[in-house]
This record gives sequence, C-alpha cells and structure tokens, in this order.
Amino acid sequence: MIQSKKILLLFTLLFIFIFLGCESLKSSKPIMPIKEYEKMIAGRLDADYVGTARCLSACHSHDKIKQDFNASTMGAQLSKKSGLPIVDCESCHGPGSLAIEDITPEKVEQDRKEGKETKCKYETLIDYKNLPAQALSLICLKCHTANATFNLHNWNAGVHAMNDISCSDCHKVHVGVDLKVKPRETVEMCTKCHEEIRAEFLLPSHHPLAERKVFCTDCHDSHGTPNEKSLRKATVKETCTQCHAEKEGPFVFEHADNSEECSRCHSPHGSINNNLLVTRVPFLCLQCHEGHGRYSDTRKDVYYMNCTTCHSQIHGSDIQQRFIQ
Amino acid sequence: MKMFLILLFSVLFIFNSSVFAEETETTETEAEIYHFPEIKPEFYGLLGYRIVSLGGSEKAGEFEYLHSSPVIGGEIRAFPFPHRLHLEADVLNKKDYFIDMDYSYKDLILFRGINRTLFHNLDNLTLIDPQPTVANTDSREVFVRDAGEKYGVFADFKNVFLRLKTPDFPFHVYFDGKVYDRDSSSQHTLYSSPTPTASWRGRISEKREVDLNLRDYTIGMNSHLGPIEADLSHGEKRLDVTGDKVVSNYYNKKLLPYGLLPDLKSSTNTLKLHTSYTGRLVASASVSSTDKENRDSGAKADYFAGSADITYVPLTTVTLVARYKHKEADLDNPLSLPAGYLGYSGFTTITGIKPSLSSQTDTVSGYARFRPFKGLGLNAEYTYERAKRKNSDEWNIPEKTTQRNIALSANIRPFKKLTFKTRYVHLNVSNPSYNTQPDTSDSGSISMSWNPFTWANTLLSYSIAKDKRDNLHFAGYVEAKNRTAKRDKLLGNITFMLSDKLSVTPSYAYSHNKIKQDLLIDNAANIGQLDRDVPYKDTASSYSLNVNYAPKKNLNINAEASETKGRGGFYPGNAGALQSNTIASFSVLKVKETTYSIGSDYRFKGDWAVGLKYKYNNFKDMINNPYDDAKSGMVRIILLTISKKW
Repeated sequence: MIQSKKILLLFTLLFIFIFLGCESLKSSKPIMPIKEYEKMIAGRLDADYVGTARCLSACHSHDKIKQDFNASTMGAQLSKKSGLPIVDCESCHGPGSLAIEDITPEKVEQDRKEGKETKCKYETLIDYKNLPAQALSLICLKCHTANATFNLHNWNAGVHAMNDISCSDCHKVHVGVDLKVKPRETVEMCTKCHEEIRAEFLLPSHHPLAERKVFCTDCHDSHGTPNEKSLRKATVKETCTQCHAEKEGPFVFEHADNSEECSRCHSPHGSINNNLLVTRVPFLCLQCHEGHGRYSDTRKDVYYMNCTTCHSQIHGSDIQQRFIQ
Repeated sequence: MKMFLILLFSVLFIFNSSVFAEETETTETEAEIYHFPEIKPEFYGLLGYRIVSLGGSEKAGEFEYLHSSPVIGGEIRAFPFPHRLHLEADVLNKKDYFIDMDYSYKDLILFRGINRTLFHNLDNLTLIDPQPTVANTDSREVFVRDAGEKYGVFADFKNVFLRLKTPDFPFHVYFDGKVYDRDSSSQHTLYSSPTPTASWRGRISEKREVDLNLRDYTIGMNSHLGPIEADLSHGEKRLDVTGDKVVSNYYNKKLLPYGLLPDLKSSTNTLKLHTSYTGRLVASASVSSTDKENRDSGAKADYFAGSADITYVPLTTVTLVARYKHKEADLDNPLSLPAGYLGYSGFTTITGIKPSLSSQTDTVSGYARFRPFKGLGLNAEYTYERAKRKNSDEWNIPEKTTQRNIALSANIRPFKKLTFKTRYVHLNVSNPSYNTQPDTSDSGSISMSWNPFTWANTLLSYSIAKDKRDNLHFAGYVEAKNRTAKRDKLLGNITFMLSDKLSVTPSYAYSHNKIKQDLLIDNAANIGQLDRDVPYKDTASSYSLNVNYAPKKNLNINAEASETKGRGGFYPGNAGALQSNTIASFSVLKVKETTYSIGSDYRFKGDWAVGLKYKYNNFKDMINNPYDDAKSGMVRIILLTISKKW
C-alpha cells in the first residue's frame, strides 16, 4: 500500500513537472530585454485596447487596407475560424482608444455628407515611420521568436539587420495573399536597393534572373547566414552545385582547391565573357599557369585559342590529371 | 496525502491556464465583436498564343524556348477556413512553365510546392584549323562530328516543403525536397585520336546527350525549448547521370574513356541552436557534417562546418557582433587507378596520384555599429581568416594563408530626401595561394539616392577596387613578379514622375576591369619566357529607358529599350615568345545586345482583359571574330493573351 502510494506520488510529481515544464518551454524570454525598444513598441500606456471591430467599423479609408489584408496570412489571424493564433490590429499598432476618441458612426456620416474624410488620431498609435529599424523588427520578432522560426536563425547578426533593414522593408503585411515575396518578384524587390546587381545581370553572359527563371533566393538568404554574401550554403561551391551538381565532385584529380571557390574563375551574376568567366580565355588560365611549350607557330595558335577545348574536364576529372579525359 | 494531491491538482487547474489554452470570454456587445468577412474564392484564367521568330544564333533568345506555342495560365485563391489554398500556374510552352502551390491547414500543416523550368539554348561552336589546307597530324587538325547540330538544355526544378506542427506548441517536423532534372544536348570537345588506328591526337567536337537527376531531401524537426530553440535535420543528396555518362574515343590505338560524369552521393547532419531574437544578447550556433562520395571513382570527401555568433546591444545606439566560423574539408582520393578502369580494357594502370588538398579554415570577425543620432549610421568590421592545407607541398601552394580584412562604412541621411552610403574595405593576405589572390586589396564605394522634387528620384553610385600582388608563383620560376588589378563600376538612373499616369526612367551602367600581370609562356624550346605587365581589359556599358504609362484606369502600357555593349581582350607583348597579333586576336571580343519591349494590358467590363507583349532582342558580334565564342542572332517574340477574373 505504501509502495503504491509512493509510485502514485512519483507519477503525479512527474506529471506536474511535465506540465510546468511545458509552460516554461513555450514561453520566450529575451536575454536582457531592450527596454528602450520595448517602450517604443508598447504604444501609449494611457490608451486602452478597443478591439478590431472598432478599428475597422467606422473608417472607410481602411476598407482597401482591410480588403487586401483579409486574404493574407496575418489577415486570417483575425479570424478564429482560420485556426491560427489570433493577432489583431492592436497587436502591432498598439492600443487604439486614443486614436478613435470622439469618433462615432454619426460623425463619420456627417463628414461624408460634407465631403470630408474622418481621420483618426493615428499619431497616438505606434509611430512606425520614426521607429529605428531594430525596434520595427522587434514588433515582428516578439511572435516569431517563440514559434521556432528557423529562417531567422542568423537574422540579428546578418548583414541586413546590421544595415538597418527591418522586416517591413521587404514584407508588406497589409498586401497580398502571402506575406512572403513571390519567388518571381524577388528580382524587383532586391534590386530596388541592389541596383548595381541588376546591371550585372544585363551583361551578355548571365544567370537568367531578369528572365525570372532563377531567383535571388536560390543562392542568397536575405534573413542572414554565417556565410559570405549571405549565401545559403557554407561554401560558394556548395551553393553553385545545388544546380551544377556534375561539377561537385569529389574527383580523383582535383583542380587543386580552386574548385572549392567557383568565383575565382566565374562571375555568378553576369559577365561579358562566355560561361560567366571573370576574364577572357586564355588570359584566365595564364594568370596561374605557364603557357605551352614545344610548338611551331601555327601549333602555338591552337594552344591559345581556347584552353578548355582540350582540357575539357577543367572542374575535375576521374580519369586524367591534365583534365584532357 | 489525498488532501495534498487534491490541493496540488486544484492549483494546477486554476493557475496553469496556458497549458489548457482556454480562451477568456469578454463581455463584448454584438456591435463590438469583429465579424471576419467571408472571403470568396478568386479565380483567374488566361489563354493566349506566343509567336517566335528567330534569325541567326539562339544566343539572342538564350533562355527562351524558341518555338511558337499556345499559352495557358491561371490562379486560384480559396480560403475555406481553416484551409487556405493558393495555386498559380503559367505555362508558356512544354519547356517553359512555372507552377506554385501553397496549402495550409490552421497552423498545423503548411505545404509549398514550386515547379519551374527553363530552356537554355547553347551555341554550336566551330573548331578552327589554323592550317586548313595542310594535313597535320597533331592538335592543329580538327574533326567536326556535330556540324549543324542544335544544342540546348532543359532544366526542371521541383521544390517541395511540408511542415507539420503540434497543436498549441511550437514543435515542427518538416520535409524539404528538391528534385532537379536536366536533359541536355550539348557540344563536347576533346583532344583525342580521330580514328582507331591513329597514334596522334587532334581536336574533335561531337554531340553529347546527358540526363542528370539530382535529388536533395532533408527531414528535420525543431522546437522551442525554454531559453533556446533547436533544429536538427538530416539530408541526403543523390546525383544520377544517364545517357552519354562517359564518352569513348581512341588514343594511340586504344579505346579510352573521356569526360566521365560521376554519380554522386552525400549525407548531411545539421544542428542549429539560438536564443530569443528579442533581447540585448542574442546568440546562435550551428554545426553540420557532410560525407560525400563519388560512386564511380571511389573518391570521398568529408566536410565539417561550425559557426557561432553573439550579438550584444549595450545601448540602442550601439550594436556589437562577434562571429566565429570553422570549416574542414577532408578529401580522400584513390592514389591509383587500375587497369581496365571503368570497363575499358585499353586503360593502363595509373599510380602515384597526388593526394587532393584538404584544408581547415578558421574565421573570426567582429562587427560594431554606432548610430549616434537619427540619420547617421557608422559600421566597422574586422575579419581574420586562416586557412591551413594538408598535402600543399605536392601542389606547390603555401601551407597556410591568412587574411585580414577591415571594412568601414557609413549611411548618412542629412535630410529625408537625400541618402549617402559609403564603404571602404582593406584586405591584407599573407601567403596568397593563387596568382589571382592579391597581397593587398583596397576597395571603396559611394552611392547617393536623392529625391529633389516630388516628381524626380535619382540614384548615383560608383565603386572601385584595386588589387596588388608582388610575388607571383609559376611552378618554381622566380622572376615573375607583378600583378595589379583595377575594377570600377558606375551606375546612375533618374525616375521622372511626369504625372500620376506617366513615369520615365533612363539609366546608365558602366563597368571596367583592368589587369596587368607578368605571364610566363614557354617558347619552342620549352623554356619559359617572361612577358612583363601584360595588359588585360574588359568593359561593359548599358543604357536603358523604361516608360510606364497608364492613360486610363483600365489601360496600362510599359515600354523598355536597352543596349549593352561589351568589349575585352588581352595584349601580350613579348616578341620572343609570342606573336602578339595572333594571340591577342583569339581573345578580342566586341559585342552589342539591343532589346526593345512593349507590353500593354486593357481591362474590360466583367473583369475581362486582353494583353499584348512584344519583345525584340538582337545580339551582335561586332567584329565577327571566329575565335570569340560569340555569334550574332536576332529574336522576336509576340505574346497575345486574353484573361478573366471571377
């Protein structure tokens, strides 16, 4: 009897521990909260939450925003039926009681008859236009830090965060079916800031980005990675061989460790030279290799027309060390 | 005991509300409850025809499938909560289509599938015999076995992502699959005997048809575990090659293999951990281990990559980041190949194969950002990287190479309509491994974005990089010294909003790459001749004009014209080793690409619309250099569509 009571107690304590553990497992606590930013995004402390209906009911200027928003993932989060966690207007914009103070449906109707648009006191909401980028991002990260959003794994130390790019610079919350940018639209979005990259893709030999056959996000992760140029993979070679897999190797005869770094010979965005080469052949090869010997004049011409006509397995060979086979 | 347990369970039920996820009820009036509108499904369908006209080389329409065809497309959006569905498809022809599908059920199931294809037209390049009237028995002779062949690559990319989540708890299991199929018909060149009985080799071009199938699957799980989140995944990658996987040809009266494309296999395990993203202190770390194997030759490679970073925000005006990255590449190649390798009886044993280079690279970097006031951001970054190689003696490259990199940048916004960005980077390399790697490199860039009037927006940017190298290495030859490189780019555009219906954007981009380097070229007696400061230069300039005009609410017109010119070449000068005229002529390039396009959409009542797009592209080899791999061509494409939304 005493033994069974002890076992029951043990299971009970275990059960309690799991439930308490689950609660702490779910919660997300920042290490040393940035109180200055927390204050900025908390909104007016003297305002109350009024609910989504009051944000949207009287102001018809919100109708277009509402219509676009409804079909988006964040819009769906206004509805319990969607099964998503509920996130409403004031979750991001702060408590709205001061904004709609003194606004009634009768006033809106009166203004409409007079040809005026009723404006709310939007300046009492969170001041998005003047928030620092880190604080703007914090509004999104409050939720996206607790739901195992691993595509943000390197966001804080990434090049975009370090250069004051916030989530809202790329993700337009109120527009569209999908908050993520469509793959075929990434070229327009990215080249708004990276205009010099767009120019590279206009060169005669280029990856078909402008033709919308490949996308910036095939090679780069805009949320940040520990790799150079925010490449998705740990090395340049791993990134390129996502598609050009036959160049990956390993081979019996490697091109030293040159083949680990495709950008030594290739310019991935665009080049005037065929095959995206950084310089023209044979100069490309002569930069590192001694030119051929034992020739007559006309045979010498052959050596310098195009090295890879003979050395065709230049990325690595399983047969012959000079890459001829 | 019983009372104790009852009290304990009571405490749990009363206070542990998040575990049981009960929603509190408010006393809202009917008028205050937000009724989410029912979103009706939306459909969009498109039918059309695409007319293609080609003259000359397919280079003019390099990534277009150059055959006329009907066109079909559409989009469906449906939100029967808790389901959400989005499907989009654009089919230009059987070789060029894009399909994107999203499905989600609550936050429990998330599915994304994308299938896209492209067709890449390739040129058939003619090998050139320098003495066409002389029957030589060496590499001067060419054998064109693919005259008139048309080449191209059809690539089909499929991406599938499926994520499952536990209810009310952030635990996910996911599958990420990529399948890449490539059917190619391309030119293969080789240096081989032209006939089974010849004991000499010439240059041969022939057709090669290869099919690649690449499968890259990753399964993983991640979860929130109190102060950290963890993600664990395992990936498998397989490459299978069929078709002309290996080409057979003769040398010295023996049938031998050429150009083997091996089947590859790799496995990767990855672990990622990070803290909350929202604190002053944020840390993340990841480790991954990959094993690769070449299934035809038996060559193997193991890779390990680990990285960690810590971000600290002591003040809102200051951000500090420290990063560490460690990479190991351990290559293990066979040191001999047996007789009869790959099933070729003529293949004789090869022994004493050099072991491949393995390496270990450590990178440490620190980054500081200071934003003293709104409108000014100052950044500084220091990176130290050390690469250590194994078997470097056999390859005549340094065992260790270290790099130190300092980058300084500033973002300045003196007032709302004007922004400057500047950046300066200094790189110092000890024991550079290849001649193209500099001892020192300095680069700088500046860009200005200015909105002087509400109807004008300008962008201007310039960047320059200079590399210097003092101790080139050519396999034991000590006299070669210098290499300098300079790259600069200029970009400018202005957008004029002439009215709310009309915008015009002219733009110009220029890039220039200039190198001067000592080259070593053997003479007829096989003695290296130094050619000092051989110049190389290539330049490109692009002009474009874009016009957007919407004269009516239901009519939209977009027109664009662009011209890109590129030229390049190198100019060796040592008369004792080279005939400068001949060698230079092989690499000289001068090309021009001109593109015009105009497109228009007109929307009728009832959500009908008609569209017309015209595109003209002309690629021209301006000097008709037979050696420059550039062939002239011109393509016109007209696309007529009719669409409806409902």
